[in-house]
Amino acid sequence: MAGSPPLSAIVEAMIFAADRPPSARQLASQVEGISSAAIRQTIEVLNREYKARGSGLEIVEVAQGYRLVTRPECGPWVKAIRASGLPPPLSQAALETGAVIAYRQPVTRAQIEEIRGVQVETVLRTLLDRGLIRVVGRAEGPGRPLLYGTTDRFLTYFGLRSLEDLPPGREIEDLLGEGEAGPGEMARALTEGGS
Amino acid sequence: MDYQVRLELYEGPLDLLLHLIRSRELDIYEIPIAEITDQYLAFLAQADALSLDRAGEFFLMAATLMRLKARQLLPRSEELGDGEEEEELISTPEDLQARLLEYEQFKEVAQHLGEAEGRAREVFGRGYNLNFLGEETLEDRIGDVGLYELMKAFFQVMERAKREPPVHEVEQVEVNLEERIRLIRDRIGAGTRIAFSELFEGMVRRLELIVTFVALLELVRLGSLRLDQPEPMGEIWVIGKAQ
Repeated sequence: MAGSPPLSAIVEAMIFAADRPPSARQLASQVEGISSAAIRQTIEVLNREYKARGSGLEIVEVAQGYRLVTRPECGPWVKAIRASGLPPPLSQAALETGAVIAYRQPVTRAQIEEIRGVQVETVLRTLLDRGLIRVVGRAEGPGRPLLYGTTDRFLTYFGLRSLEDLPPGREIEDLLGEGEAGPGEMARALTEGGS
Repeated sequence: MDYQVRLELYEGPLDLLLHLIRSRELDIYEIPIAEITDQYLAFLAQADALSLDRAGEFFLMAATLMRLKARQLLPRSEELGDGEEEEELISTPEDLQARLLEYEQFKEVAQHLGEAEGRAREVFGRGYNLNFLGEETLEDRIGDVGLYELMKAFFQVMERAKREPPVHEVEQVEVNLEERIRLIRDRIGAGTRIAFSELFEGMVRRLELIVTFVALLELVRLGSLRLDQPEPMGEIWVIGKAQ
């Protein structure tokens, strides 16, 4: 059709203005005759162009979606021009607790406390308040304690595409325990079940 | 070892033990229980005063270590005596080793997460920080609102009620769940919406607040009402549905 902007412009515009990070599939569904693979290729081309002209922006993939973001090198200036400050970085306790939940989800508070050897009530509240973890259900057994899991926001917060981006650790079997699913499988099961 | 030791530097007893083992290059697969127990206790003795709630965890570990040390010294037949087998998380040096190794791996992951967080804090999305705001998540929901957010909102209502002094003593109205359900359903018909806090307006008594909340949950379960929280951590709306 005459007058239609190039695909790269369309993809760029969609990624810029979408309500939330669109996936390749979502982008492809908006353009007739274009596949997810074509979208991914277009994004690669866009990023090369940005780099070539020294742009302060780039397209990154987080939580299975694409975002147009500022380059980290420009961080100091962007922070300076923005009115709102960043919330404080997470404490070591919060990072450790988040790590345990990410790998062992769904997991109860007691199980987390067993692994870390300390109480986690305050830390759990912090992580919940920041939207990094959520209650995913209840465990069987006495008291039916709450089960926790990580959220999509957890992924964007740490700039991860998925839980599989987390380091496997020295020996992945030890970390995951016998017969438990890997962080990626857990995440898939949870996000699919949650919709 | 005269330096000021500060327990706050350690995330807990496991962190401390790990430090003692690693810094002295002890073999974690053959932990010398007697030696590590002595060092741990010496450390605790020298440590600055710790806040009460955190100190407990360190002392529990001290007790565990002393128990392990004692068991090593006793001949095997004597230890499992009179069936006072309380459930112990760490009953052998192997248990301790397993717990320490497991914790160490999560510490490593936490380190990676911390670095990832640092990098992510340098990156910003359109108009707002992509890391902290506006990301819609697939929350576990009661209706369309997360359990935690709902409970938080309810606790806020309860707190507010506590602070308001009763204007006048109304006669003790019996609060009945079925009646409350009916009242709410009548008040919020199909297409009507009110704010969560509005639902509890005028109520001061704890019992009344709780029964009303339970009635709300029941109506959501039955499908007469739905909940919505368009802004993360924002107002929760109670919306009537056509049956």
